[in-house]
Amino acid sequence: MVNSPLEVDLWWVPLSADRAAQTAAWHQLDAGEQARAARFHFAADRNHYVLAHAALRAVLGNCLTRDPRDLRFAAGPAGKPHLAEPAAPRLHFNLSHAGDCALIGLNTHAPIGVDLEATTRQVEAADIVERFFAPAEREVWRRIPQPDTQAAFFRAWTRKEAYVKARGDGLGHDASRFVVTFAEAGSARLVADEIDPQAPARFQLIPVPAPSGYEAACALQVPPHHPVKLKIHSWP
Amino acid sequence: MTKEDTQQVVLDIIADVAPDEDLTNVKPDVRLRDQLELDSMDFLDIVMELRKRHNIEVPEADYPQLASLDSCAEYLTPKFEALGK
Repeated sequence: MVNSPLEVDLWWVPLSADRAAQTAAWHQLDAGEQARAARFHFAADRNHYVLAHAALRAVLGNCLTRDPRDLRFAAGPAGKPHLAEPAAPRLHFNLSHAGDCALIGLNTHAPIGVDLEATTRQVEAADIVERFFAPAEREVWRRIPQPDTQAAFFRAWTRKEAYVKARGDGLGHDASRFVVTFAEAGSARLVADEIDPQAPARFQLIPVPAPSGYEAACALQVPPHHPVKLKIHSWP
Repeated sequence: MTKEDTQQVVLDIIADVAPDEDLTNVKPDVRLRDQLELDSMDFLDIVMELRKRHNIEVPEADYPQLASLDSCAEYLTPKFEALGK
């Protein structure tokens, strides 16, 4: 395992569909997911949720050669979903969606987190950085030229989110106490984590090539030096 | 300040941080993230706005207290009262 690349499948999913496809997607969901979808206030939110979760079922079902509708999920302590299938092979996955797009990451070896953000989103980036980022990240942020700050912010955010999602901690893992690199687009690294000082030796961050208008990142619980092969697909 | 007032404060903030959301029928006892398309960034925006607009600090450990409008009211109303509001 040490030298063989970890293969990670990343699926891009468009979250727009006609009524028939939307209805078909609805019928892929279980009763709990349908109830969750029904609670959404806005049809657009509901449709995004339905299409993203139906695609997740389809991708996982395809991988496990199972009927997607038969898959059962459970949630970890902070809400991260996993398969509640004791007989199924170990399969780690994560889903993120933003705008009209979803990103699904999966592999058979390592806990994974993915995060996707629409970079057109209006955010008070400087306030978020000052309030919620680590001191070392704030220092880096202040040195970034003004025209590049928005892109840098979304790089940082997606990497931090992907990391806490890989951990399964959600907002419970204080974002101001761990540090990621984000000054450059091409490489990513977890530099330090006060809460889990060994984490930089156990987690790898990977920038994910994203469509125009989006930023995405993937985090894996594998050492940073471990080779990883990203296999990028479009669904369906 | 009543609990209803506190819920309205939270709804006003959400209306600004997530302007596309229709907030007319938000159920107070259901988790906000289960009925609105709020993500982690929206949630941090809400925390920031509570500090900016109302001088209320919500420490990280208390974030779960902001899950629903009802829990927001339970948690934030005493803080507003302590500020004389």
